[in-house]
Amino acid sequence: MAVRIVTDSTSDIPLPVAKEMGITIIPQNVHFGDEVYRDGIDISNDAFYKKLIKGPVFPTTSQASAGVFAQTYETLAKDTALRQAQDTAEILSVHISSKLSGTYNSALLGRREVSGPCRIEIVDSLLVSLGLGLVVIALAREAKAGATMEQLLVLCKELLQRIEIYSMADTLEFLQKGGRVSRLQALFGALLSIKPILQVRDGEVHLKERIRSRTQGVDRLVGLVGKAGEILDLSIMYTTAPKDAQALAARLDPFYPEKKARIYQHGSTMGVHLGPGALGVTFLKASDP
Amino acid sequence: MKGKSTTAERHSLDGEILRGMFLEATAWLEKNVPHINSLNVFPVPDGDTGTNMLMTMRASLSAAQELPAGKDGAAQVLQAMAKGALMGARGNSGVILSQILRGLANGLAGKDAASARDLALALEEATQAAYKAVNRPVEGTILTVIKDISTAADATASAESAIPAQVMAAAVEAARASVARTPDLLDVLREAGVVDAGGQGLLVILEGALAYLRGEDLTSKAPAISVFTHPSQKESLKPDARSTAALQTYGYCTEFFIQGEGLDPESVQQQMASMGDSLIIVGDESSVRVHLHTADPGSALSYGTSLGTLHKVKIDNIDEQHQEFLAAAEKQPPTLPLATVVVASGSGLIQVFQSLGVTRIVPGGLTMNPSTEELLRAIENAPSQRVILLPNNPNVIMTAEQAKSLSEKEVHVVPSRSVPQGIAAILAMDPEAKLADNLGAMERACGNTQTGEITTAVRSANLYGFRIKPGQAIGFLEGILVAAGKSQKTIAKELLKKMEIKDGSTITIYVGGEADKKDGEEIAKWLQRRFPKAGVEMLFGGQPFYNFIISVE
Repeated sequence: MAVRIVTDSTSDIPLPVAKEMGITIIPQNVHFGDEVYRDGIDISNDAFYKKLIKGPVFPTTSQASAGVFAQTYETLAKDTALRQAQDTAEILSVHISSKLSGTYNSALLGRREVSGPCRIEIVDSLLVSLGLGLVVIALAREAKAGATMEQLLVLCKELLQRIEIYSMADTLEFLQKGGRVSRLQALFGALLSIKPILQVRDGEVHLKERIRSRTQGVDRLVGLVGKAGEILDLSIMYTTAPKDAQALAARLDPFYPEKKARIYQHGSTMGVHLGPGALGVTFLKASDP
Repeated sequence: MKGKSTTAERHSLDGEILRGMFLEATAWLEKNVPHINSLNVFPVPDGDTGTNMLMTMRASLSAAQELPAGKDGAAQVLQAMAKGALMGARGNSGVILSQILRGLANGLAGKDAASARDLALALEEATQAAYKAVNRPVEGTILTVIKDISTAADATASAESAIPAQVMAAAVEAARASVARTPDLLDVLREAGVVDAGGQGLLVILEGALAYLRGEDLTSKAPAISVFTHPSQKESLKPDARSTAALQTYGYCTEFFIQGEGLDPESVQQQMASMGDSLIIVGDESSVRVHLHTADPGSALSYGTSLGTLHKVKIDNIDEQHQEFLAAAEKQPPTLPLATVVVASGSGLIQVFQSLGVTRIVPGGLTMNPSTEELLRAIENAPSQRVILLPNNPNVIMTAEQAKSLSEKEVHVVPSRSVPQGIAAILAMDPEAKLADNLGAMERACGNTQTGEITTAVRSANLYGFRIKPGQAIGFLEGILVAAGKSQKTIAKELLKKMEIKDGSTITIYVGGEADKKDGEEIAKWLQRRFPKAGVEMLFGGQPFYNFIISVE
């Protein structure tokens, strides 16, 4: 029986894709005041962004509880047992960087609650969004093809190191409120209109560059992809500007020949932190020769 | 009275005489500052040579005057002057002057008194030091003048019987002729119809020194006006009165109580009125409180002692006070891996840099050119061993390099030539990139930023084919005059048409302290209409001299 792949909704994997690949997604919670929604389940992306832009309440996010993890693992274990009586269920659970969210922690706690024979490996990706998503999708593909847990763990570790994520936010407002960016202090109260280019590295979000205009920012993103060398997988993310994402994809074609870069919309969790108008790229570099 | 009439016949000049010469030279320079400033081919008081050279000389003199008795031989006096000038140098002309003093000090090393031969050698050293200080020496400037001085001094000193006064006289004559020739060597001078300001400053300094030697009294003399009139020029140059007024805020804030009998505050007020500015006299017949800003606190105190006893004497260096105030206003973060020090004038521009997280900001002061010492203090003050320094003005780059050479920290100068370049450079910094990459990115950012400056001419000028009259609106692109006319709004539009503005460009208008905000708004609106895909921003800069600084990125 194939290893079951689990991740969380910060991976921004669209539900249809997850379903097709057999990936289980555990949703974060999005809070608008007293209202709580499960990311991607109780609230659609469109509805979320409408609420985000219109206000007046500013949303926050929280990780899925240990209980939800325990439940999800148990359900998967039982499901496996049903299908293949002799096999111990094997679950590979890969999650958003522990430095950005308590999700990984919830997973660890949840695992303790699972009864019955089950092997659950939990990995802290030190990544987020499609950085996490691309790896999870690749793992799911291999799992479907029959890879063992050992093989998947090795692959996982290897892939995670070759992922790069860059994102441009349109404004600092949401990043400031989300409080997840180190060294953003210098930008607080900036008198000039500045857009940040962010990079996820070592499990954290770093300010890579400060730019004055959107056009400049898009040029930078293109440049960052351009100097990465050979690219095996490329995806473009956006929050509320799909046309910008398409334009960016077109410009990135030369760096990713033969295949087409996939375009994804950020889910609520990422949306809360990046805000409207964000644009980003995630890619998997070829391994060093 | 010291033997002034016999000083001219002396075979060697000791430390006291040399000090007296430079004191007189500085006093004469001060009188000539308005005229020297008016020679600035730039019709904006930004970087006024006369003021910068005077500040440099004052710094050098205050160092020389602190020498203890017995330790004030010729070598020691010049050494102290060189050190003082080094720290107090402002602007390129100030830096070169400080190097001339350094050369003189080197030439007189170990000597208690200077003979004619010694002087000539010292002037030769001074010439070499001056040329070495400049990256790309240009003839027709103070460099040519010191060179010509040195040649004449050498020739005069070769005579067996030569005495110092003769060498000085030859030096002054050579300087005069050299200054008059500078328009022949430098096109921009010829076009403007002026001689080189730095050269003129040096001439004036030598004139004052020679006058001291000869016992001549220059105080009643009107400043000599050395004018080269371009054949086509109809107007003669007039000294700029505004510059003298501007000098008033420098010096020492001097306060003390005079206690005695039969004191007359009104009489004290009258007597002290010419000693300085911001004079406040309060008191009665037994106690008078004095407050004033003066370059010579000693005279004020001496006057006080002639009336009674002095109490609660307080003398503060006004520049230093200002610096301390700024330093205290800043928070002290823990040690940083990298600190940034920038030069900026204008409360708004200072705030912009603060909002960008710059570590230390040095105000430019009167001529927008801070001294070496001010930059050095900011570097030492910054909580990091590694400092990037942004001068934001071409006339501060040399001072910045000077400060770097004096600091024991690892200092890197990114030669930004305007505030917009400086801002772009700061934005280009990636706190996690390698230093070399950062420096490269910062320099590229400077190169990719266009700077326009709009203001009103304070004096006539002949520059790049324009005939400028005082009161005209003028526009500069990268420091070069490209537009002149009646209204600043019109000039701004002309200037902007010459700048490269694309979709996605960011245009920022910094409004100066004396600018009309409505003009700025109109310019911004015009820009937005003409370039709908560019980002247009307007901010209060509060900068002096330039009503609008426009940056295009």
